Amino acid sequence: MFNAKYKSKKTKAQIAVTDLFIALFIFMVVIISIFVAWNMYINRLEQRIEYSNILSNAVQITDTLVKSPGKPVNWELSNATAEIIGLASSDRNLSERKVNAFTTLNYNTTKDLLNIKRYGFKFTLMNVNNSALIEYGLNSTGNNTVSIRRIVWYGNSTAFMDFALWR
Amino acid sequence: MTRKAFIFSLEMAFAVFLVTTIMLVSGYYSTKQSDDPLIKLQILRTAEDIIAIMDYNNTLTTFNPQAIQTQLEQLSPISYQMKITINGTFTQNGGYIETNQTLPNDRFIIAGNRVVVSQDASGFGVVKYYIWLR
Repeated sequence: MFNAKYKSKKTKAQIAVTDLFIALFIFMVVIISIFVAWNMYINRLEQRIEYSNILSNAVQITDTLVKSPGKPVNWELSNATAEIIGLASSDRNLSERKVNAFTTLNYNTTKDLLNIKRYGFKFTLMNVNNSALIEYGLNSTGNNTVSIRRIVWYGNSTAFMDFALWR
Repeated sequence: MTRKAFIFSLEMAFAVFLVTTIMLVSGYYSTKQSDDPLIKLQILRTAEDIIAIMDYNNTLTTFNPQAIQTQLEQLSPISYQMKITINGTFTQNGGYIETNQTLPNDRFIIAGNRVVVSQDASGFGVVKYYIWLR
């Protein structure tokens, strides 16, 4: 009699413990899944913010380069006086003198003037057959690279201006 | 006791459903890259560049549909498609030019305007351009 009662209690206790372990296992799986997914989304969000920052900078820089003559307007006469770099003699019409002056600037000075100290950049001017006419800057060694192509008028013909910004 | 367990299970199922829904929705929005306004801005810039260059090299002001079509195909990046219409007081083609491309129904289309004046200043045209991802 005593043994039967004892056995029944023992079985109940075993079932309760098994139930606890199953519940604990499911809970752990759910918690770990949430943690992994949360981490993944945070990483994606950070990458996206970084990409948006680089893209935004690249768009603004290329816009200034192809639309503005810079400040002062004749900064190419003396590179040291350059406050803002612009390569245009008129909207999307690049001045050969300004482009030449730009490519002779020190790489780090250019980064300071373009306000992209945290990034690296590469400027390439190509003809319509994609042959490089002018290259300036460094090739990307970063994880995040944004390259923007602008179509410009250079030396009385159509040209492509590629600007790659990376970090 | 049974009813309590049932309510507890129901609450747990509801909580799991809620968490899963929040994660799926946030995941969907965090991976939705195509809606980035900067990318649309970049597409618009490309279209503006092409139209400006076609204005500079006087392709637009020839008001010749074939020449405009050919130049447009040369300058458009491979991932984009563009359509141009020109409406104005020029005499060629009855004052209206349209390139071959058909505007898609299932893509986001970015559009803009530019006014061009014919080389002899005898007429003008309002260039309307449309650009979308292939």
